[in-house]
Amino acid sequence: MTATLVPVVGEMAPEVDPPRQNPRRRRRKRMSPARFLVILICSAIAASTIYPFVFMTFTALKTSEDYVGNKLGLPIPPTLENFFTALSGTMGISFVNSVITVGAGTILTVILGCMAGFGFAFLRFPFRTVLLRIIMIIMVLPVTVLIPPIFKVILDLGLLNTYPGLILLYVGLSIPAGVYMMATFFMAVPRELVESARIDGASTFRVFREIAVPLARPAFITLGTFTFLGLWNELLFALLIMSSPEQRTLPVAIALLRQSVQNPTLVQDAIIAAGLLLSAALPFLLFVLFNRQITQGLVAGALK
Amino acid sequence: MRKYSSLGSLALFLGPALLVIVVIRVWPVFQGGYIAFTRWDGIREPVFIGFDNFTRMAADPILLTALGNTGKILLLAPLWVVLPLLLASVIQERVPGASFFKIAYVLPVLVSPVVIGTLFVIILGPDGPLNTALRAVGLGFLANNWTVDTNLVMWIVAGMVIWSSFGLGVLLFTAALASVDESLYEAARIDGANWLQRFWHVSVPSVRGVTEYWTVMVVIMAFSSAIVLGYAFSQGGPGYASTTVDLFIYNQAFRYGAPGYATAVGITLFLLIGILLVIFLQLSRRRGELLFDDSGTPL
Repeated sequence: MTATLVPVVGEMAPEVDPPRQNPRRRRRKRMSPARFLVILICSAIAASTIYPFVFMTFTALKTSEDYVGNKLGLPIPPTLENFFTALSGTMGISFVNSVITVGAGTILTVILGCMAGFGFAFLRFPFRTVLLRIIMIIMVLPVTVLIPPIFKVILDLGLLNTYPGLILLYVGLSIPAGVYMMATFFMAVPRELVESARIDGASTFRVFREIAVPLARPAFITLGTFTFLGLWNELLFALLIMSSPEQRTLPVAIALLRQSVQNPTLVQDAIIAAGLLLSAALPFLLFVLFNRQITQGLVAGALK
Repeated sequence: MRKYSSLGSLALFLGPALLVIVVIRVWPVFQGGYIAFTRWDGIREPVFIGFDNFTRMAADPILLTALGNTGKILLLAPLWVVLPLLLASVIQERVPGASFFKIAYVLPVLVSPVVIGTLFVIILGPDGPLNTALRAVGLGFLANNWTVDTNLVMWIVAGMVIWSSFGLGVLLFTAALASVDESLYEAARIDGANWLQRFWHVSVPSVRGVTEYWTVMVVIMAFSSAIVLGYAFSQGGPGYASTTVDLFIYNQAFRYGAPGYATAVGITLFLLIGILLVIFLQLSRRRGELLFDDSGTPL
């Protein structure tokens, strides 16, 4: 943390810089009290977002006795025992269930979203603008208040306690955003690319496969990462639709892990922390890998 | 020249996505509209009972508590909008460690609310690290039984909701501020404007569109993102002290066996938010209008 508080001094030559950057650079040399205070506040907020995860990691690497003896200290020596304990329960199966349902949901969202986005951008049909606007409104409106009637749809379809049921629901949760995102992406594609293929006599499907899909590859990564992150963290529907222990997804397993420990003994905390870390690892990894795409995707959505 | 695309391509490209949207997102709204007027136990067919659910709603003290709890989150909405904007402005000034701050703020956004809720049960527990740390530095009198303090627990949940999502706002605002014309700041600086004046007269007006978008997101999140945090952190308790209205609906439906009543509350809320959103979109229509390029022959 302290490293970030050290101002950058001296290593740049202001004379060489383009003139309009000078005021900022010069400002940086002297740390005014106000500026120091602002950075201190920023650091305090950053500490609040980082420390809980550091604590989680440390706790997961401690033996239970270690944790009870010294809750805030470093895990010396570190142990992986908690991870094995967490995984030896039903958590390993839950991890696999999450990968299956969230993976299938993400892939289907990307495929269907890409096709419908292409349709909105390049096909012509009545009420197109209105329809896309409605999809945008559906995307924004909260789903949580409609959980009971959505649950009834899955029930009526006979898909309760089935993988297809949860996957269908997951596609339903993320497809409005998928369609909207891909539609705005394809609408920005230059017309000439499609027109020239059209003159060569390519069918609509060939234009889609040979021009649109290769163009949209970066958008797939953004949409895929987004969808995956959103669904990976989903708890409420998974809790309702996949109720038997061998069908649980990871968020459900974690929610129940805590509840199964009715008497809040500290001994369990280390194992729970290991489970939390297992669940958080994949999103962290995705963010590290696709940081740029995630930021761009967010901004593209906001500026529309 | 044909005016519209062929029915075959329309069905192929739009059919599957629209079908899923209708089944999972549109049909439940209509079905919910019907269930709201029925007594339904979740298993047998719903029985029509007229306006009974709505009269029950009007006289339900627990629903009132739940609405009040969601109201507490909404009360913090201004902070939820302004804090990310301020932080983004500081980051944009390229202070030391700016990019580090940005990544740090996004961490909670990436993690499941279940993980955050569970983690804070441990951190705020009676002998958890927060109380341990307070005692260690001689502030033991501040140590509290955070998770069961009826007066405090909802504010803790509200704080967690904001804590777990403000990083998204920071990301949005930094990107928006990066596209603001640098010469505007330059001109303000030449006129002798200080940082606060530049923030207020240049930054704030320049990112109005994103601010509106983020405000809508914040209001929607106030109604929908406390549920999982509350579920994992305090199960809405003690009593109903941290039951927000979305958790109220969930618990009524699947814990207290009144899915019909829960649906009535849910659909009312859904329509209310929907109407407000459509009005808002109409008012801000000048921006963000979708433009289709309809030159050439349709595919």
